[in-house]
Amino acid sequence: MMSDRSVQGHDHHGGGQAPAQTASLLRVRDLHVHRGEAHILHGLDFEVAPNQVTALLGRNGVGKTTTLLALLGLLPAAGLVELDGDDLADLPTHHRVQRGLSYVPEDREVFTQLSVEENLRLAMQWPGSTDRLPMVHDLFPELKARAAQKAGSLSGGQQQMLALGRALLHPSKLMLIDEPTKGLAPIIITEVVAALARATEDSTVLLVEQNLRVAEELATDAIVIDEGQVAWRGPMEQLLGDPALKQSLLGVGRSRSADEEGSA
Amino acid sequence: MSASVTQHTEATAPSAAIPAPRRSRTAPIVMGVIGLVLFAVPFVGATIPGVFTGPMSSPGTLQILAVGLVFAGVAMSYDLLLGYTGLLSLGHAFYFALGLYGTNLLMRLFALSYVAAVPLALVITLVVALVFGSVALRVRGVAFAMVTLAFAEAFHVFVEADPARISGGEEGLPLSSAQVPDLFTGVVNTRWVYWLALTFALITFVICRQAVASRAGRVWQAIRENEDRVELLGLIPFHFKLLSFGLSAVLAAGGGAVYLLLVRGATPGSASSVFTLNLIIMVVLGGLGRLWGAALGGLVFGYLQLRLPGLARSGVFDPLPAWLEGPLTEPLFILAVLFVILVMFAPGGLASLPDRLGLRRSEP
Amino acid sequence: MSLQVFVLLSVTGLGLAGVYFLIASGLSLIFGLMDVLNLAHGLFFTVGSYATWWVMSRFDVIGSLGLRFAVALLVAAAMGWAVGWATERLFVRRFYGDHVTQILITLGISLAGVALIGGWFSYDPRTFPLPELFGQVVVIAGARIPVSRLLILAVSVVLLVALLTFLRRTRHGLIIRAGVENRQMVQAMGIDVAKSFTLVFALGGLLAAIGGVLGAVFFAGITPEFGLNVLIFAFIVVVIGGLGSVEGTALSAVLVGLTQQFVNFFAGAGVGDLTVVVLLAATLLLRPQGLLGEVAR
Repeated sequence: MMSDRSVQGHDHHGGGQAPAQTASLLRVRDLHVHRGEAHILHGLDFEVAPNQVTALLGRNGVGKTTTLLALLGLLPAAGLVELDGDDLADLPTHHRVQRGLSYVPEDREVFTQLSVEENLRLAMQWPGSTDRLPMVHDLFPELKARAAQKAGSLSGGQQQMLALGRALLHPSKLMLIDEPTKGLAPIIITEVVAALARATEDSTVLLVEQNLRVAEELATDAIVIDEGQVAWRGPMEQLLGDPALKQSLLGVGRSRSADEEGSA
Repeated sequence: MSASVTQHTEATAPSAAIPAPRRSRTAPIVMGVIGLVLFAVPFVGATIPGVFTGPMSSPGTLQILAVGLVFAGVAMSYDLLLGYTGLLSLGHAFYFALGLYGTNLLMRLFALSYVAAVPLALVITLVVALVFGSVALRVRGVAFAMVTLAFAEAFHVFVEADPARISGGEEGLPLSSAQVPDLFTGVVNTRWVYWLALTFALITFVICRQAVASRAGRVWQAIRENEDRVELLGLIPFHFKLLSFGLSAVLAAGGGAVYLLLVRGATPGSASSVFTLNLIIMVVLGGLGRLWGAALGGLVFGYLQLRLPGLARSGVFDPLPAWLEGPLTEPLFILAVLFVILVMFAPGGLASLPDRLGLRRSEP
Repeated sequence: MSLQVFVLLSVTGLGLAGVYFLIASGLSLIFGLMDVLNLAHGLFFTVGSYATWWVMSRFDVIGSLGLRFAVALLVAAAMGWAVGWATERLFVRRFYGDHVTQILITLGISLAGVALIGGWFSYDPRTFPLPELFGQVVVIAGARIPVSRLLILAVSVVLLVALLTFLRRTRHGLIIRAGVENRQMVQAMGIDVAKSFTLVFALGGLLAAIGGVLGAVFFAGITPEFGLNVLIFAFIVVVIGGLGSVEGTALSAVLVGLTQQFVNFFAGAGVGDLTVVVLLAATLLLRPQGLLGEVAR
């Protein structure tokens, strides 16, 4: 099989195909991250194509969130990070965000002591933010209805909407979204996924997801991390259409657990 | 692997102000030599002009040196807490004052001799330290600092306001010389109190060094670096922290007991947070995590505190403009400025200067 | 306890609470936003007190004491802002992330400041003339309340309202409130939180300095160590109220101020102070996050 996991070789490309477009929005080369004594990322190489959703997949603990944190500069990292031609290395987090990154963290991290409206207002410093507010309210009517409510009293799903809305107010080049459906009930997941699909229609997104069904619905391409490097990349359907590949890279397929494989 | 944005910053690097522990084989030898030299001082009739007003063997000079030695010992005890275990206690003066007031009160209230009162005061201090330590150590970091500060301040207020009418209030409680061995009374016998202070400093050094080198000492340093990891290793940090707390308290109280003979009374100032803050300066000046550095800091501090006002009176500072002369006669000002400079440019304190100047090969 | 005594103790206690609040609020914000235990905060307070003494004793050119006092307030506020700004900009900022060193630096600055002021103005307690109005008495419910006490209360309340308005109605305030809760996320939204650090320090300096003015009026004489002594109670107020919460600080300042006054009166001087310490211990044991704050980190 072409995508044999053992093919990891010195070119770091593993198996799979490189993305079709040549002008990628995000270029990452040789990304290394250490946390304490552990060497989590051993020279990650990948690209993200513009105007589509790319999923970042891999087993639990493999370094997906670490990758996002490194891109944002929230973790010390070595290697090239280029956003639309801009070299982001050595820039502090807020500068990187100003250059065009927006972030929806795992666990949402809304400001619980502030109201919904204040959470959104905090995000509205960009030119064009005010114009985007109606769109956000449109996508997430709950946010408009609960504008004065303290964010801490929102349900998990509502907080997720808030975190997403907050990020959307920033007309960024690349959205980094980390496990948006984590910990949510299936009904809420459906809502969130629908909203995400509409919200990211015209955006470039790098989406970390543990839930393959969600990833499948939203993403065009997939990048799989294993053992600190990119083990595979290519179209989403190619990955999911290959049970053996899925099994070896993601450890799913043989036994079905409710939140890893939602399909019947 | 679910690291939230805030979580990942927890594993920050150890503070630049706390260097890695040194295990020098030459240190004990050097200390031994210094100890002998210091022991011999009361026999030396020579004068060091400018540094001391009288000959080395004069009571005035010996007094200054003795105070410096007491501070050296107390500073070392504080280094155990802050430098080695990483516990920022803002209330160490409390235990020093317990030794000072405790010994004095035991002598007065129960007609004990000094020799009998001191061990008793030390025991009481230990008990108090263990009790308060158990409460304070339930929290960490800044909260711990504040609790220790509060407890110390409570004691300070107590001896100053003196609701029970036993501590002498603001004036303090004088020493009743009758219960002190004749050997230590009287100006002419300052040399004996000096030797007592020297003994205290040396004993404290030895005890601290042994403690630091022991298994407990290694755990302390591990706690300082990363307390959570210590727990993962199956150890209970609380026990070790409490040990450090209790030991340093008792040593500080010992210093207080000696100090009582030096200043012949107990005053509330010894229990004030200002004194604890002075201790922090002493220890940081000398270099956290280096015992002899802490001792040096204490010595320098004690010296400056007693000597500077005299220097000012002698007119050394007269050429300076008035606005500069005032602060310079304040030992605290010089020390605090020195402290700030050191913290900013030489995080390892005075003790790290030989390394920084390339005079000594750093040990791993 | 008669009504008069109750009213007098309450007003005095609330006045003390006001002084505590002015120091504690800045301290709480600084800690909440920056994780810095600012030991130099007492210095800001002392600066305010000595600025007051200086203006009130030396500015004879202004005949009216009342006007002079107003000037003193302004001078103190300006100096507090400046010293706060300088402390962060020149010292604290260099050690971003190194909490122990930041504490040590503020400690050094605090003690250097005490010694500097002591060297310039001596350690003897200083007093200064007060406007005649301050000494006049207002009778409330039979109690004779000095106007000065009411003034302290009034100024504190005004500043409390101003501070809350700033935090709730301005963008800077919004950033600070968000940053107190989750600094990293604010950065991840493209906002440079470091700019708020200086603002918070300067603001804290200003508030503490005004606290120093009021404190100088409240207590008999001022000494260089004045700020340090009050700082300890300010810390207690901050911890009981909850780190980072201005509302919590206000609440706990009232609790501490009133407790101190009442207990000191009935059980003897000093016992009230001890009681406050017991309150602190109780808070730490039972509810470490304080009345309204986040968990004490």
